[in-house]
Parts: sequence; structure tokens; C-alpha cells
Amino acid sequence: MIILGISALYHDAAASLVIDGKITAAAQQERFSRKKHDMGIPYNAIKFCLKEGNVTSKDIDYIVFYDNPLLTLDRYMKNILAAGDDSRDVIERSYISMFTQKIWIHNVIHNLLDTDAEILICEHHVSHAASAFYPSPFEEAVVITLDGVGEWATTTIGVGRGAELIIKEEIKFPHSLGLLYSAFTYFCGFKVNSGDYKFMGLAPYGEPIYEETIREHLIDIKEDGSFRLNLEYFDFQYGRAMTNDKFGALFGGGRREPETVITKREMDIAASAQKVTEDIILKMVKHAKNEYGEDIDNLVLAGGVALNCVANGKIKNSEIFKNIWIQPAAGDAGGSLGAALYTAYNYAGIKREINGMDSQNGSYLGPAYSNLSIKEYLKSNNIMYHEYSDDVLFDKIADELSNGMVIGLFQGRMEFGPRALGNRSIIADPRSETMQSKLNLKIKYRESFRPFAPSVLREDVNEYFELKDESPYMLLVENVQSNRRCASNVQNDLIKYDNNMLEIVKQKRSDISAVTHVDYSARIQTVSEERNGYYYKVLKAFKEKTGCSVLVNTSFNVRGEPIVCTPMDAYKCFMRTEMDVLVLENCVLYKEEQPEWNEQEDWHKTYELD
Amino acid sequence: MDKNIKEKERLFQWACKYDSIKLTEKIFTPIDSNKDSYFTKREETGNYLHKYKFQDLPELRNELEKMWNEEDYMMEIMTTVLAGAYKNRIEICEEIGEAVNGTGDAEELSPYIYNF
Repeated sequence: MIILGISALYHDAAASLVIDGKITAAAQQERFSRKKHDMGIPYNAIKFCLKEGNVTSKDIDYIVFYDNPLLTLDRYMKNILAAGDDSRDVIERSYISMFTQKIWIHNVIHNLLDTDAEILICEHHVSHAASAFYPSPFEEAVVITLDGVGEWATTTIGVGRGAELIIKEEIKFPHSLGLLYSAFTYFCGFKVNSGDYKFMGLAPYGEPIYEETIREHLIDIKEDGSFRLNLEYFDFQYGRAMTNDKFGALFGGGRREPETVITKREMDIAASAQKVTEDIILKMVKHAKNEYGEDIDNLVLAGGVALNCVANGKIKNSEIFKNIWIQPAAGDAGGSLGAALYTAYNYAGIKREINGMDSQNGSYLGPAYSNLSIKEYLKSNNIMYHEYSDDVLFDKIADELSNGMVIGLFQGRMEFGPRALGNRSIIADPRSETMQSKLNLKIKYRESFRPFAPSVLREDVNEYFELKDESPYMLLVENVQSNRRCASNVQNDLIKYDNNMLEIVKQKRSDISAVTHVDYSARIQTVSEERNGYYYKVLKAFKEKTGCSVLVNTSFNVRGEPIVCTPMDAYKCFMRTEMDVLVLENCVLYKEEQPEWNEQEDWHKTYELD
Repeated sequence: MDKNIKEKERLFQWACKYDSIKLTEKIFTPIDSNKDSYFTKREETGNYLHKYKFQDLPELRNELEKMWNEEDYMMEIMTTVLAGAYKNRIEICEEIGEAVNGTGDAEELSPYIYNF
């Protein structure tokens, strides 16, 4: 039974292939088109999935789209109605996309693929819920989904048991935690899709001095975590900017213009918004446990808000549920996977099998490239490289890392979801006090305040972080162990350095400085041999050489670019930056051996700053 | 010339006709301090998947009527919606396999605005 899931036309288009109930392949379209957050029809991602599954479009039994266009039309129309004589922008904003590809999505798909497959539509939040529950290791779980908006729902609570998944209750547009968070993101001068996690990373610099302002004016939060926004302060429902002048007046003025200096105000807004968001989510989790989880130990999460890994860490520490699992592609890309899985278990009659481990396969669901194909590429482009066998390779990598080299690591199947998990990663020594600055300025070309994230050997996680359990998908934030920290106080530093975060980020905060945020937190990936043997060996070799079980792991791309997909993408990124070494499976390239890099166009202009 | 200009204007006039606090608050539900919860219960049908296969306007009308038949103000705008769908329809082509990328003629949204 072959099922293709598709998400598109809103954010992060993707395709997923499920064969006989097993996840075979999944990938975001952006990785192929090289257009970040590409929301167009994921033609290339679909082609990849079919190739990976060794099937053709004629073999597909069902194609399922992750959103119900007619319900979305209903929301669009009623949004127009509610906006009344202020509806022109709402009408204009989505009219074309609504009446072309969204309503006619089935014909778009038929025109794309030579297939007799039945085309189905799955409700948006059910797609999210299914992406959280079905790949999880749990026979039963309470399911919470939170995002900007699907058709109407912005938040749902449900229960999964076996193959069954039931949505119990919801909150509807325009009341949305995702839109609220995006409104703050926008107000602080970041892009709403790619900037949310930057906004989250800004929060530790601030103090939640606006928390009461937010609670008093912007949102009413009930004890069970349900909420409604005070729409007098927002403009998104009128098809315009996220916030209006009234919103700005609460925070002493207009929004921060993008790419301008970040002031204490933005830091404090970020801290305040984060606190309110966490409060809502925790109340909701408690309510879900009381209502539906009396005999259920497990919680699963999806929807874009589930990428708020600081909140996820708080959920875990609350111990309201014993176990939690979060879909690594928690945003709309994962909807393609959820829709396909829901179809498999609830329409196609496939039995759901659970064996104690999740079925996400480490989220390594994209294309891989063999040593042979890599060497063909390198040779045909006269690129100098060295090939090492496994018994030498990992020591070599560890050597270079311990000498302070920055390494682009390209191996195995590409990750599905926004995080790099060791297969398309830039890695470096976290102990260096200058590594964070070096990576920011010379590799990522990005703002200074953002932390890097650590990968750590699973068995050693508790030596370094206040976490005992696994965190294979980098979706949990926890603190660095207190015995590793150096005294520092970010508020004092902000005064001392006149809010200059570039100076603050250079301050040593622990013995793994490069991955320690200003509040001692870290967004952790635990690496085990069973999930990623190659990356595990890299970490093991580094530990043997240095005694340190941790590496900096940041995504393999420059700012504004999607994570690299092919060896060619990797080589380009390597040559465009001051990365020292590139590892493509067993092939190692050294920068000093490469020819001068010339490009006809200025690549800085290719990628919009995100 | 925008081929959809008539329908867009009709939508606007329709919205103006019904512009009232009552209807706005029915759709954009306001804060209510008397409520204990803003969660609304869902019917537990477990029926979240649907076949999607209409090809002509009568079939589309049929689908929309299932949603809107109890809402007079929605039934009133049905013709305009169908006109919009018809004018912008994507028909099944004989040629298969052409890459369909981006959003076609759809407007490019600012990256600072959430796309919904």
C-alpha cells in the first residue's frame, strides 16, 4: 500500500512516502529548489520520494493533501465577512491562491503525476496530530497541536490509541498562539517564518517586564490554557501587518525595523512573550492531562509552536506527563507525513506496529549520496580530495576538530525538519571561547546573539546538561550542568557593554562556551549509535582525543539558504565561507587545497537574509 | 486588467452589507470574562479524511452547500464563489508531468506577514 502525503501552499512544502505503513521517505521542497521555506507544489520532493521508494506515480494508491481547501475557503470567506468594510486587503491577499491552486489542488496533482491514485484531503490539525502520534513510540498518548492556523483550528487536544486518533477540543482562528508569537516576532523586526526561533533565542537576554502588559491588554488566558486574543491590537485578521499602532503603543513605540540594532526593549519583549507562551502551554498540558490523560503517561506534540524548544523543556521538567515525543518536522512539512500516516492506518486498513522505538528513523528521511557518486562529482569538477577508510576517517575528523577547525559534515540521508542532526551539519569544538564568534562571522554570516546548539553522546548527556533522557531531535532546551558554568550575569553585561550582544556572547559562560546561551541553556541533541552510527563515531573519536563528548552542531548552510541537500550544495557552501574542512562521506577536502572560488554572481544576493 | 475584479468587488460589497458588530463577533469571537474556557468540543466522528474530486461547478456547489446551507449570508455569495472558482480553475491537462512550482500568479506575500 503506497501513500504519498503532500503539504504545500502555506509554508514549507514537503512530500512524504509511506509504504505499508512504514515511513520510507520525506523531504522539504526548499532543499531541492534552494528557496528557503518554499511553499510551492513540492515537485522535486515528490520525485525524490518516489525514487527512494523505488515506485512510480502509477504505483501510488492514495495521495493525500494535508489541509482541507474547502474548510480553508470557509475561513477565508468568513474572515472577509467579519472584516466588513475593512475587508479589501483580506480579499486581495489570498484571492488568487485560494481560487487557483488551493481549491483545485486535486487537478494540480493530477497534472503533475501520471497516476490513478485516489486524492484525499486530511484536516490540517489532524495531519499535525497524526505526525506527532503515529511515529511516536507510544501505543497511546494525549496529543496537542499548536500552530498559526490550519483551516479554522489553531490549537487542538486529542487522544491517540493504537491506530485511532480523535480530536476532542480546539481553539479557532483568529485566536492563535502561533499568530501571537509571530506578531511579536514581526514587531521585533524578524521575518515571521524563519525568525520565530531567533526571537526565542533573544528571550534570555531580556527580562519579562511586559508580561503583565501582555496579559492585561493582548490576551485573556483561562486556567485550562485556552485563550482569546484582544483583536483591537492586531491587524493580521485584516490582511495587513501582524500588529497595529495600538499594539506598538503598549511597548513604547513602533516596531523595530529589520536589520537594525536590537535594543533592550526587544529583548524584554522576547522574554515576556516567551514567558506568556510557556504559561499557556503548561496550563494546556495540565488541562489535557486532567481531562484525557488520567491513565495515559505520554504526550505528543506537533504544529509550528512545538518547535519552541524552550517551552518543550519546561513541559518535560513539569513531569505532568512522564514521557513526551515531538515530531521533528513539527511545522507544515510534517503535515505531509501525518496525512500519509493517518491515511495508512485509518483509510487503507494498515495495522500500526509499535516496537518501543519511534519510527521516525532519526528523521533521516531524505536523499543520501554514495561515496561513488560523490567521487564522480569531485573528479568531474577537478576537486582535490582525500579518501579515508572508516578506521582512519573518524580520527582524522577528531584531529581537525581538536585543532579548532570548522568542518562541514555531509553524510547519510538528509534530515527531515528544520534541524540538522549530524548528516548535514557544520561541526566544531565547543570548548573554544572564540568559536561562537568565528562561526557567526565567518561561516554563518549571521547576527551575533544567537547561540549554537550541541550534539552530545547519549550516554554522557547528564555529565554536561541537566537532562537524563534522550533528545535525539534537538527539540528540548536544558541548562548546562552547574559545575561546568562560569559566573556571569547577562543583565550586568548588558549594562557593561551597552546592550552590545556581540561583546556579551564572547563572554565565557561554561567550559563548553560555544553552545552555552547567556542563561546557561542549550538546545540539545543526544547522539546514539543506533540512530546515527557515523555521527556517533565522530563524537566518540572526539571524546577519545579531547575528553569532551560534545560538539557544536549547526546547520550546513549560510544564512538565508536552506540546509544543503547535494554534494554540490555542500561544496558551494564550503567554498563560499571560511569553513576549513569538508567531509563528504569518506572523502575529505581541505580548504587550502582548493582552487580560488569564483562565481559570476554575488551569492550574497541570491539568498535573502532570513 | 484583473479578470477577478468583479468577484472581488462583489465580495467586498457583500462584506459591507453584513458589516455589523454582531456578525463580526460571531466570527471573531471576543474575550469573555464570564467563560471558564475557550475550548470548543469537537464531534468525535473521527472522520477527518475526505475524497476530493469535484470537476465541475455543480459538484463544487454541492460540496459548498453541505457547509453553508444553514447560513443564509454564505449561500448568498455562492454564485460569486463559484464564479471565482470557475474563472481560475485548473483543468486536468492531457500532458502530464509538467513541474508546477511556486504559486503561479498568486501574490507574493511579505516575509514579515504570516501566510494563512
